[in-house]
Amino acid sequence: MIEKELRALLPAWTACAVALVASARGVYPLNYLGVPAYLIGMAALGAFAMGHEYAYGTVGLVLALPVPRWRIWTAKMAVLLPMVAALTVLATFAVHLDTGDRTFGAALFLLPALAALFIAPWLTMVSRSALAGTIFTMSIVGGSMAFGEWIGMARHAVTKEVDAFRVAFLWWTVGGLSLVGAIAGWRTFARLEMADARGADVDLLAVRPAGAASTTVRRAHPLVALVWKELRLQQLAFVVAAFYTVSILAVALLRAGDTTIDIASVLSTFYMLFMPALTGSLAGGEERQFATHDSQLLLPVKASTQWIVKTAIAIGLSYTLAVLLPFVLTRWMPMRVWISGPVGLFTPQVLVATLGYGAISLYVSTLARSGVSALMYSIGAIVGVGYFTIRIALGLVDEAFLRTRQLTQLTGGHAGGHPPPHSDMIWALPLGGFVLVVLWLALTNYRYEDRGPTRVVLHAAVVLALIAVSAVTMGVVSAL
Amino acid sequence: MADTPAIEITGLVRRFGRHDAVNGLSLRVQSGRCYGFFGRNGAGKTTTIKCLLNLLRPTSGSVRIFGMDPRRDEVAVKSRLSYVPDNVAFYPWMTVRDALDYTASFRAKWNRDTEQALLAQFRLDPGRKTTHLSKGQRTQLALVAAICPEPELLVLDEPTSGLDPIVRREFIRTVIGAYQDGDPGRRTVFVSTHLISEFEGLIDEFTIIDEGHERLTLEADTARGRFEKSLEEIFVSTLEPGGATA
Repeated sequence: MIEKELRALLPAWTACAVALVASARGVYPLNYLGVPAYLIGMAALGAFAMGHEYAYGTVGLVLALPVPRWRIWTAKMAVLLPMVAALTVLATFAVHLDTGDRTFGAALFLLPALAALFIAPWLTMVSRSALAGTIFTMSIVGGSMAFGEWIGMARHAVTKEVDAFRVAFLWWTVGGLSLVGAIAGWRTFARLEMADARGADVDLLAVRPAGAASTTVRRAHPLVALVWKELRLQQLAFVVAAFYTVSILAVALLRAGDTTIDIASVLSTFYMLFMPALTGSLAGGEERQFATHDSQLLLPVKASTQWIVKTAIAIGLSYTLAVLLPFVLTRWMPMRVWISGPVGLFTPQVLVATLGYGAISLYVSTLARSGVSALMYSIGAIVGVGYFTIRIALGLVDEAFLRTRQLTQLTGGHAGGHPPPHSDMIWALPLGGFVLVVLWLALTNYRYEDRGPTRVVLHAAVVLALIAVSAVTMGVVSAL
Repeated sequence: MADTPAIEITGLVRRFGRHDAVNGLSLRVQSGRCYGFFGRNGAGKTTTIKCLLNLLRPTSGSVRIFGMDPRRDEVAVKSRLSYVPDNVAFYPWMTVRDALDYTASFRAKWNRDTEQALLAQFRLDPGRKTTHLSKGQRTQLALVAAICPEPELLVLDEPTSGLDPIVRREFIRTVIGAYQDGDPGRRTVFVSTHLISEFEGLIDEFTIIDEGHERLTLEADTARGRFEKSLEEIFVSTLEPGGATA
């Protein structure tokens, strides 16, 4: 039982650890991904402890084992606890925090661990979805930070006491809920029933109550039907956007004229990094979990058309929810509260990063068996590709630039040129090519049921080679 | 083109790692027939069907549906067939009505009378959420969604697993029989099953496969005449060690 749990959680744990280690190397902007990777990874790991049973349809099997339920629960916790503890230790070394507030740092590292151990498995069982469990757990932590700020401001105005209050509030809410979750989680598991159907019990976008169906067929245009289906698959993205909006509104209402790095900045940065990964993961991963992928492919519509609709909705929602929504909030807010962290809004970097994140997570979702595993692997893949690009490919750019210039000088030619910029729109062309290649490779995964390791390794090699070749080309062109 | 077979599989091989799930399978299904595809669990039936439907890429060999390549002529092929998998699933937010509306949105034809008759026959409540249906009821709903577009080819993978005996009998005799009778000579059924006795009276021709290899292909009447046994007995004796495959 221990081995089974270990094998189920290890890939997700590894993805989170890779993201933390890659972010620990202090390369801008990857160093800012450490905290989001830690928060998402923790919530997802905790949710996956129970969620993998839902994702793989093994709830009935595990409940039917001839052992007491407390032993099954203990085995799950016995595997989850050291994994969570190891990630927490790793995060304390890997994640760089700007704030000098050590109590806030302790809360930031320890409370997600408590939430992963006790809140996430409980919410996963309640919602029967690992992804919903992940998102609700993150929303509790994020919401506690925002509302701690809000109440703190109401009580203490803009003083240092707000920070102390915020940390205390976090401990009381997340710590308290963890205690509730520890008890409720066990009680829920002890009474857990096997639901026959796969997939979540969450239906947040229902437009009419069950039982109110008409007896006549209502046919929509195939594209409309596909778009509506894709939007339904993305319902958890709307939930996250709603949580974010409420949190920002709550904070902003009390933060007049203050432009310091505050909780809204942290939430916004986190949200903007998280949303593209979420929409991409939901697009492919959820269909695999619902086991509707095959029947979907057999509809008399080209698989490529279905993929284009899926991609357009996922990336369109990424831009709408991750960029446009924060823009609208800042534009119409009565007070100035906004990001003063690593990114601004509507900058080429943000737009490009959103597209890149979305494309990578869409690719990963075509390989994953559930939305939550797609999300976890996406975070690892995004940081991994980012690390390769920044640490290795941009190094190749400089190397190619220098070598080409030396060669030109030796042959008596004009050795001019300027070093290629590392963060400019000059990268739009290679990035556009990267996105198109990744989405095309994702289509080959989407089109077929099997996802053999050979194909995945080949795809990874193609993507990394493309980045490296683009980098060298940029270096040579700049030198000439 | 009248004699173009509904299904033509030639030398199909599908490998998973070092394991050959299907190894050199060939078969030909004429239009208007009910073709049985028999084999034990793990014999390669589902893999063959998935290669046929372009859900898996064959390692080698070729498949044709109505003379077309399911990969190249994707939409043309999919427009003419319906598939009921062994493990039926629907989007969890959908009701029975929603699931049928969604499927109908992609189909050129949709027989409303058949839909109403089948819903009544299977006692499926259109307002019920698909997550609240039993495994058998989900299979029934999938059958309704498969038959109402009146496809030329109906591919069924273990369609009766999960159905109770009464519904199973109704399904096989009434639904499949009525489906074929609706346009005799044109509507083809390709059914994969190991519950052979259930389909005894409907099967025109069959192939028995084992470990990815074809073991026996015969007309049902010829087989009964030659072996003087029911199809199920022929199936069992074929797959027994040293089985009668001659």
